Amino acid sequence: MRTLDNYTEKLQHRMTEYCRTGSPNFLPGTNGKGMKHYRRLSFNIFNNTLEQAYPITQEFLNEKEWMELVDGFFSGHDCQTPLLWQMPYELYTYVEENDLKLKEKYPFLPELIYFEWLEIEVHTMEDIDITAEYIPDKHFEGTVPLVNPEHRLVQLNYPLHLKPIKEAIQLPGQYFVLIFRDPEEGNVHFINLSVVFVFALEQLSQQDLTINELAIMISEQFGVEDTGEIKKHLKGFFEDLFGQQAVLGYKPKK
Amino acid sequence: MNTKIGIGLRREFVDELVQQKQLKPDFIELAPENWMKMGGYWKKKLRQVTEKYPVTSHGLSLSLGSPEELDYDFMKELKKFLEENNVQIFSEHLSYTKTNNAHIYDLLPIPFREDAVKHVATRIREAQELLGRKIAIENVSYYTPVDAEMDEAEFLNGVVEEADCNLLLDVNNVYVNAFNHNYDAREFINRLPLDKVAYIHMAGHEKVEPDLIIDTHGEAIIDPVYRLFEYTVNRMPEVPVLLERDFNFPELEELQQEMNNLRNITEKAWRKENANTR
Repeated sequence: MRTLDNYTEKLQHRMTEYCRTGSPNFLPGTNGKGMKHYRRLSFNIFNNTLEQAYPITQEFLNEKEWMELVDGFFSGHDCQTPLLWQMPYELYTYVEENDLKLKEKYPFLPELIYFEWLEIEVHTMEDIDITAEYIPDKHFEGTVPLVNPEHRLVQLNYPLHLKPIKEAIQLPGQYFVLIFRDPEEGNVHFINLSVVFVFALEQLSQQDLTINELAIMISEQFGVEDTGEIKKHLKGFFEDLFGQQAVLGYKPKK
Repeated sequence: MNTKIGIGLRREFVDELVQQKQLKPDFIELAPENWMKMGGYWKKKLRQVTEKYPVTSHGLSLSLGSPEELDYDFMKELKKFLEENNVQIFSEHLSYTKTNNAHIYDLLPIPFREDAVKHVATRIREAQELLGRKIAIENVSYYTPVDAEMDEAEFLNGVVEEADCNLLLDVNNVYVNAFNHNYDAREFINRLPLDKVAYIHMAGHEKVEPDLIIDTHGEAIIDPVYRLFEYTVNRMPEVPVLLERDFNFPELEELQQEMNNLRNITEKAWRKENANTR
């Protein structure tokens, strides 16, 4: 049953429209000074939250460009999440989906924003319980490496995880990154990967495989005949990941 | 008698709350939206704090004053969160943060109108049913009325009565609104259903212009607000009291001193009340 008059509903819509756009929108029985403060306060919530989430992007853009980005998002995007800490992700989707002048000037802007978001996402993502039994050690002969489930594996077009932004944008290419959260302190770490190791991690995410089995698959996929050499590299790779807590141990192969 | 004096949980002093070296609140209040759907470091910290203290919770995004439907998916998540964290009292603002299917994350003033009283009360009743508990509705600070048909006290009374909910009385907001809209704060307090108050908020504010105060939670509580608090607690039964401080943090001893001040005032008022009822 509808209990709110159209008139009151319209008042509320016009109030939020004013806050978001700042365009003159006469509302009866209001005072201009108070209205301006609502506009200022609501804009500041967006600006402060985005500044905290995207310090690299904010520093890279000049002040006018940053304000243009925030203002365009605030006025032009309907935020869907009730959780303010998740709102910055919607800036990424807004930039990705819309034709913005800033993207013409900085084609890497969506990737930069996404990269910064990934750190927040991996840091705060919900805990993933490990149901399988495993041994927290690095004995990877004939066993299945257990990859830390709190991770993301992504491909970037710029080495944003390796270089400061101004250098990274001069080096377009194909970069693969493992971003994971260490289980003890909850800190986020980035590891640059070769395409072969990405392939290995992707295969492991789909099924339990030993290093031997992975070496055969890599040999077939990449046309490398020396599986012994591949095994040696894989073993070193997983031992290194274990040392960094990107791999938590091993499971016996069933 | 032991009046409960609490503090709003902020990430800036979460470790201190775990260690209890300088801050010694009786309970903590958290905004669920700042902690929901989080794992890792912050989930661990939240668990450490909630294992140590009784918890109340102060919602930000339920948007009880919105024209549109409640967000039922969010309500389900919220219910789960409140249960998992053993939240004893849940409160929300008498305002709206969302219209036209867009969150704005600021607390906007509901027009003080007859139809809005009925509409908001209906939504609060529905939210209470979905959450399986009463909600304490907070009187918010507002910087402009919007085509009002009644004053704030009448609006607030109407909502609390029709919704059969509790009240979270923010004494600082009463002070701020009385100053900004030129009315008598004590008379406003007298008109409220004080028997419905589930707990009290106290905070600092900032005078940004000679005739305008903004409710910032970024300053210490000023003496006139302490006096209004004293006036209020002398007229109502004992309830928990919470200190809000959201930024511009002072030394922790200063926050503890503010809690001590609140305790001293409540002990005087409620010791007297308890003696009278003996």
